[in-house]
Amino acid sequence: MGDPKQVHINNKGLAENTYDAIVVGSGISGGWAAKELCQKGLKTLLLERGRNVEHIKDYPTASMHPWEFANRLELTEKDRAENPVQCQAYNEGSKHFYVNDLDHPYIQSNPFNWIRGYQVGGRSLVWGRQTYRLSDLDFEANAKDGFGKDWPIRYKDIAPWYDYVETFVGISGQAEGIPHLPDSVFLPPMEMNCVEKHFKEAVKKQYKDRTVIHGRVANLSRGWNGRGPCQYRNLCDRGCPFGGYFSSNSATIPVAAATGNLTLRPHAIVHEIIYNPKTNKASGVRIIDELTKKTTDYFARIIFMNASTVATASILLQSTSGRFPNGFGNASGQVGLNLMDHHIGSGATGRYNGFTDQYYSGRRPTGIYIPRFRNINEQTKRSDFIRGYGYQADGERREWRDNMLADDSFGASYKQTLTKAGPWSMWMGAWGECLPNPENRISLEKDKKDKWGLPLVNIHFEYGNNEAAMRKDARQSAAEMLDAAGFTNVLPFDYHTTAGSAVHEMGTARMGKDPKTSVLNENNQVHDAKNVFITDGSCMPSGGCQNPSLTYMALTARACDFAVNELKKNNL
Amino acid sequence: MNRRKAILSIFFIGGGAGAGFSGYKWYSIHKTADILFLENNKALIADLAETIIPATDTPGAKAAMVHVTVISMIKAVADRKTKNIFIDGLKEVEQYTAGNYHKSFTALSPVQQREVVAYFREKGKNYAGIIGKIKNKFMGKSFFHILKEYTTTAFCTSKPGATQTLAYDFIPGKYNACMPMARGQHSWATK
Repeated sequence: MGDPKQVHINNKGLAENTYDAIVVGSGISGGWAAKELCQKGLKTLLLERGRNVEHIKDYPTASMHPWEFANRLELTEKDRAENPVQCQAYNEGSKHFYVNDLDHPYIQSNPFNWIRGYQVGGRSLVWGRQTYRLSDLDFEANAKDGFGKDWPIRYKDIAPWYDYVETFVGISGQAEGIPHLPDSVFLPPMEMNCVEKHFKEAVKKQYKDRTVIHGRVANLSRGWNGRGPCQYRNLCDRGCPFGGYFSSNSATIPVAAATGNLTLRPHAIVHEIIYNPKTNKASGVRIIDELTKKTTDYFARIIFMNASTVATASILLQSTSGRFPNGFGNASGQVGLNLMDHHIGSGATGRYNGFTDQYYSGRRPTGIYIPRFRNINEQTKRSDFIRGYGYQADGERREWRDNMLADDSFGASYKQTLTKAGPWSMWMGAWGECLPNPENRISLEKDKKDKWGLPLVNIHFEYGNNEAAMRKDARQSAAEMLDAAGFTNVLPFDYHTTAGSAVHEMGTARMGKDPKTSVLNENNQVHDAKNVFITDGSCMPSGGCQNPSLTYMALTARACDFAVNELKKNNL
Repeated sequence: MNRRKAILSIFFIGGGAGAGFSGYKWYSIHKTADILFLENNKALIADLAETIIPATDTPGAKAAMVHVTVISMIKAVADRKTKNIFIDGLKEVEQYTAGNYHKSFTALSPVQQREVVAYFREKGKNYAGIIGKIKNKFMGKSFFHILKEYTTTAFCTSKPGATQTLAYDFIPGKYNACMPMARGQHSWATK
């Protein structure tokens, strides 16, 4: 494994500002780009707009007990006032891995939670770690129903790259042979508890078209590539001192650093891709130092954009030139359009009166999953919506936090109640596909600037009728399934969750077959500037309903392989 | 419009926000909270918390220093409404015990302290169902409710509470998905 201390920190002058490759952003996809390019022998500059975060050393809360937090991990009034968006995702233990809303404002034409982590590792430190492959049901969706434009690739193009990244990442899960949710390369699954097993069996009996599977998660059920195993603390979002889950900090960046080819430059806010009209390519990028506000140019033969969906589109839009008056690579006018998220927060809860003599120990950092069962084939076709959703679910016994307001008791008897594990309950919520729609988009506010003089991003985003119909079905179907499995007190819910809350922003620089209607080709290459590759969430022509990070990782590794081959052939 | 919002508009937009709640009550929960009173009444808060979660065969709220956490959380975590209801509730407790027992709450016997807390529990009883939920949303939770919620949170996340009254395993190392409940197994302190 790489020693992070081998990372070169670039503090020299212009003479040393030329590299083989530049990677913009060090989150889950940027970490992969850096690893792949460094391992293939390219001198690679990894630019990150935030501070450095070294694995283990910079996880200050990772080993803190609840009683060591002044406010016991509860949000404060100050959090809600100053960080109204980010505080919806963080707690007292993970706050330092999220930006401050005051320092990083944006405009919400419609409510949209843009959750960000500006530091080395980005949001890979705090991600939900659920990892599911897309299938041809997803890759063909746009072509079949006409929303969005067709993907330029199919499952067979990406399947070996899923294998490749999964083999490095380490994913706990179980092979099921479900055609529309292909199996990954798995480590042993994290087991279901007794109420979940009961639910799985009941669903199997009652529904031919539905199945309950183990959550597939980038937490290590056994030691893997020098990391882990998971210690079942379920404190992942503080950073894991055991390397129990995959992050750029624990996995890809150390490997990149160990090659000796990596230069990491924190505090580097990329705001422009520099276009060279003589070569029809990008010559490099321009950064503003976060701390000194000094501008510097860096140069390379290839550039990977991995700043995250909204940020990548905003950098493209800021990069105007004679060739690209509307933004870099934006001859199609598609940059910034088709922003997607997954809609979450519709489902049901229920109680199970049984297994009262059964419990569990350890805190499993995942739940169970019910793969999509709507609009798979003719038999499952719906008249009220297209595409579908999967459920993430979790069974557990009620504990003190759930029991404390159950009645009005106090005193010794109340204290006794707190010590008892309460009834089993199940929570299941849908993660649903959001249709690509050019009206859902980002734009730049030229006369509103941030601390660095850069234009603020304006997010325009609204769910449509298809998402609403899907949520209604997700609510009803969850309640029906719990009911059928013998749960009581079944309550369907819709939290009316603000868009963006899944933190699965996608679209805004989509891949496509036609340069007139897309930004990237089948190799994530900008159509109009072949040495720029975009492999973060912005490349997605549609979003499926699966948690998307795994797909970004696979597309990144695939594009790196292509890019290096093209360099060797002198095509770039 | 969703169902929740529709109900709220029936009660508060057309019907007038004050219906059933006096203007004074509205003022009293939105004024600047008397933090000094909170900080100067540690012993009162400690005894109230101990009445909610007393020492038994394991330490109670007082030994777990719950009052220190409750004060910190009322100051930092609670919204203005909750701050005011809690601090005004403390003052009412003192007035009530002075009037009925001619003593401060802290000078009462544990039995008397339970009587006082039970009195405030009855006083804080909310309407059932949706009307109660709406009242909570706009007028805040009752003093008893806040006392119980903050005391419980502070206690169950304290070292004595988590490790002695509940079960706590900071680094489990492995996951056992399904196991027979051991005799005397307490519920887990953390999820």
